[in-house]
This record gives sequence, C-alpha cells and structure tokens, in this order.
Amino acid sequence: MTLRCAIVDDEPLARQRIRDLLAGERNVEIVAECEDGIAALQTLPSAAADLLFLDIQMPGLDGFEVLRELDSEPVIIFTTAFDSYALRAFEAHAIDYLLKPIDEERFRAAMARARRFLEGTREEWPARLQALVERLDRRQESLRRIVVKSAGRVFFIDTCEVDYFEAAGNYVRVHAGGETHLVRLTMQTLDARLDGRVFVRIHRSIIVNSARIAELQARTRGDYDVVLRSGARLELQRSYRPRLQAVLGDF
Amino acid sequence: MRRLPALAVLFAATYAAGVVLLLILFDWQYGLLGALHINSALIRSGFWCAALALLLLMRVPPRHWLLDAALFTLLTIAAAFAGEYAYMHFLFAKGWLQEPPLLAALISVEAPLAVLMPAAMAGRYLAVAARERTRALRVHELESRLAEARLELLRSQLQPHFLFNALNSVATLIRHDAAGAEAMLARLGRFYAIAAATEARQFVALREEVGFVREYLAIEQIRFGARLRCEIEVDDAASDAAVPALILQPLAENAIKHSVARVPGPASVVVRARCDGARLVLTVDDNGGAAAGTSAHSDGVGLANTRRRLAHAYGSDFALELQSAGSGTRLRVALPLRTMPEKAVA
Repeated sequence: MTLRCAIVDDEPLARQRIRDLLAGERNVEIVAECEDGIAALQTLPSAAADLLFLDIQMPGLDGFEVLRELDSEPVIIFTTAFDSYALRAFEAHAIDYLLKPIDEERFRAAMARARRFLEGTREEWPARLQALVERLDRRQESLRRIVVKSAGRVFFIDTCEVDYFEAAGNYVRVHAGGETHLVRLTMQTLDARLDGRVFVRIHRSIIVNSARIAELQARTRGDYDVVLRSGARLELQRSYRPRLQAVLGDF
Repeated sequence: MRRLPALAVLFAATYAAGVVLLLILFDWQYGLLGALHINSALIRSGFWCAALALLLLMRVPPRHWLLDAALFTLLTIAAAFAGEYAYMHFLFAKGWLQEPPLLAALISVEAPLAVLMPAAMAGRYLAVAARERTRALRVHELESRLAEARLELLRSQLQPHFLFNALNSVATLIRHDAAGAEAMLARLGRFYAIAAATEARQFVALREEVGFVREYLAIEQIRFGARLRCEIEVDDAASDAAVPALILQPLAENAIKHSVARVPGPASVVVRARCDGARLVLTVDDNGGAAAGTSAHSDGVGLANTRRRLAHAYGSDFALELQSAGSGTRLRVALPLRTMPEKAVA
C-alpha cells in the first residue's frame, strides 16, 4: 500500500529534510507540502493524507492549532526543535515525534511504527489525539481567538470581538460584528477555555461576552432578557443567573 | 582634598579678622576685660569649628573609625586647650588679667568637645559608609546585569530552537549544497565564538555588535530562505560608537520572532544605526504587523531586560520605543554618542 504523506513546516530546508528522508522509503507518495498552518488547513482536507509530518512552531497557526482544527485524523508525526512540555505530552499519549535535527535512524523507526499503525485498526487514535489536545489546552491561558474555516478560507476572530456563542448541535455559532460563523467547538470547551471574567454562560446553549451587554430587561417573575449592543435579545436561564451576577454584580 | 589647605587658610584668615573686629567692637561696648573674655570663648569655638570642618572634608576610612574618632577628639581637645591657655597666659603676662589662667576651668569648658567630636565623627562615618555601599552596589549591579544579559543570550541561543533548527538546515544542506552547509557551520561557529568572547566587557564598539547581528541574521536567512529579507545599514561614523555589550542582537531576535516566526508570508528585518547629533540611533524594523505586534513585543522578556540594561548604563539618558511603521513595527533606541576608549578599540 502506498503511504500518502503530507509535510507541514515553515522552513523550506526542514521540508526538504523530510523529503530527503522519505526518498529513502518505499511506497511513499508526498501528496501535500504546506509552509504554514493556514495553508495546511486549506490543503489537507483534499489531500487525503495517511501520514502527516507536522511542525509545531509555525507562523499564523501553530502545529497544535492545526491539530485542533483538522477534520480528518491522519496519523501524525510531530516535528520540533524542542519543547519539553510538548514532548512530555506526546509521550504521555503515545504520539510519535521527531526532534530536529532529524536523525535518519529515528526517522526510519517512526516510519515503521506509522506503517504498522496504519495497517492495524486505529480505533483508539482519535481518542489519543483528543486527549493530547485537551492536555495542551490546559497549558494555555484563556482562548484569545477562534479559528474559522469557511469556503476554503481560514481566518481568525478575536474573542473580544464576539457578541455571543450559541450552541448548534456539534457546532457553535459565533456571532460577531453582525455576522455568524459556524465553528466546530463544544460549549464545554468554550466554557472551560474562555476568559471567565468576560464570558458568561447565561443559558444551556448561550455564552455571552459581558462587555457587549447593553441592558437587562426584566420580564415576569424575576426572569430577564439580556440585550446586547448589537440589538440581539437573549434569554437568561434562571439557573445561570448567579453566573451573570458574579460578573456584572447583583441585579 | 586638594582644596583643603586653601580652605584652611581662608577659614583661619576669616576667623582672625572676626576676632579682631569683635575685639574692637566689644572693647567699645564692654570695656577691655569683658572683650578679652568673650574672645577667649571665641577662640575656643573657633577650634571646634575648625575641627568639625576638617572632619567633614576628611574621608573617614570605614575601618578603625572608633580609634580614629578617639584620637581626633583627643588632638582637638589638646589643641583647643593649648590655644586658649596660651591666649590667657599672654593676657596675664601683659597684665590685662589679674590671675593666671585656671587649668580646671579651661578643662571644664573644653569638656563638651569630648561628646561633640565623636558624635560628629560617627555621623560622618555613617554617611561615608552609606555612600560607599551604594557605589559598591551600583558597580555590582552593573556587573550582574551584564552577566544576566550574557546568560540570557546564551540561554536563548544555546536554546534548542535556534541551534537545533540551524543544525536541521545543515543536515539538509549537506545533501544538496555542501558549500552552503560549510558556510552555515562556519557562521554558527563564529556566532557562538563572539557570544563567548564578549566576556565581562561592559561596552563594545558598535562594529562588533553589528558583526554579531550579521552572523545571527545570516543564519536565520538560511533557515527561512526567500521568505525572509534582512538588511543592515550602519553609518561609518556610528561604527566606533560604544554600546553596551550584547545590546543589539536580542532586538534583532525579537524582530525575527515578531515577524517571520509569527506572521505567514514574506517577512523583513532591517537593522539601522546612525548618528544624530550627539545621539546614536539604532532602529530595528520588522513587518510583523503593528497593533497586535506592539503587545507581542512588549511582552517579551528580552525588551524589558534591554530597558533595564540601558537604564543602568545611561540612567534616564536614553530612549527605547516601539513605533508603528508601515505594515510593521519599529523599535528605536537612542543613546548618548560616545566613542570607545583607545585601548579598548585597539
């Protein structure tokens, strides 16, 4: 079976290094080469790669962000010059990595392992990647930007520009600047990763940017509507009222 | 200290003139005898003042100050006592006084000196000691800042990213461009040699710093290829200027991190140095975007370190600022223009 490989690295010589090393392998085809994370998100979905060499430090979108946003789940070999935290994370979740300068012997071993892995069942692979993402998320401070992919375009929205997030099945609708973008995220992830001093969950399916709140309008029996500066009117679910009070003060 | 004899003469002359003047004044006011007694007190206080003045002008050595104080006090008391005794005796010999000067009485009026002198001495000692300590601390701090900067540099350069990425490039170059690989290794070698050779020198000629940055940027240039454009422009006049060692490279590194390593697409880093009147102006431009870039820059530990080092080298006589410039950020540093001392240049 021919192994479809993709290389993502911002340094041309580093990509060339992987190409050189792959040239010594049998049944390998390089289906994509990307010079940064955004290019990777645009190219990879159509490349149908089995194996991805993914650099961690890249401009725009780093390797971990690419991992988070990838829809497919190819086997990934991370490449990095050094990142002790990441290395511990890879080891904890049995995910392969290559240290630069990349050593040929180590490369062969990684390739052999990847082939064995691809030939077997890979049922636990998505779970492993998921666990890695979660572990890496824990390291980061609050989420500052949202990656949006739409119609082959990849762009960012700063969280401070967001009016509110709204759950939509397995996706989240991001309302910002009068536009709505569908993003593959969960409310749990958002709740955990957004800055809790600014973003408040006011409903099972709504997280609001408290800086965008214009007024609270009382309805019957102590229920409130949250009205945003954009004019959007959102329902405050009663059980979430203490959370909003924690940010805005008592009302 | 050189002015001490002149001051002493001036003091003595003024004092003698005062004594004569007062003698005339008091003679007219109180009669000769009263004037003579007042003058004896004046002579005494004159000695005291002279001793105190001497004490203030003298640099008290921090060690043995108690012994010094005791000796100085004894000498002052003896001198004041002798002076006053001689004066009284002179008056008695002339027949202006009926009785010879009484030793016990003289000793009792000189007694306050025994308290005053050591107190003044202790005060003086404490002031001098405090000043010494501050100076020692400042020197120490300057040294430790430099050590810190070197460590910081070595940390960031020996830091796996830079070196390992560079070595990874070499691994590729060996197959395709052996000469390029050799050049890269030579540059890496020179880069670390310069970093290590800066040793404990506080200041180096700008030329050396620029050479260092040239190696650094050349290495990054090989890594990032056509995406990165580096430029260095240095006025001839600025080349000999003295700058704190290892001040420029962290700024260039900051620009690299801020542009090519952060923003996709073509990137540029331009380092310039020129003289502007009595100022040396260094600028580092990058195209990593302005608004978000400013925060990325100021968050850097490197820049805070640079600011601290400049403050220690120049006090408040420097400027370090970030400006938005076109599609990127300009870091501008202005320092007093000084040239290296001859021996250091040679």
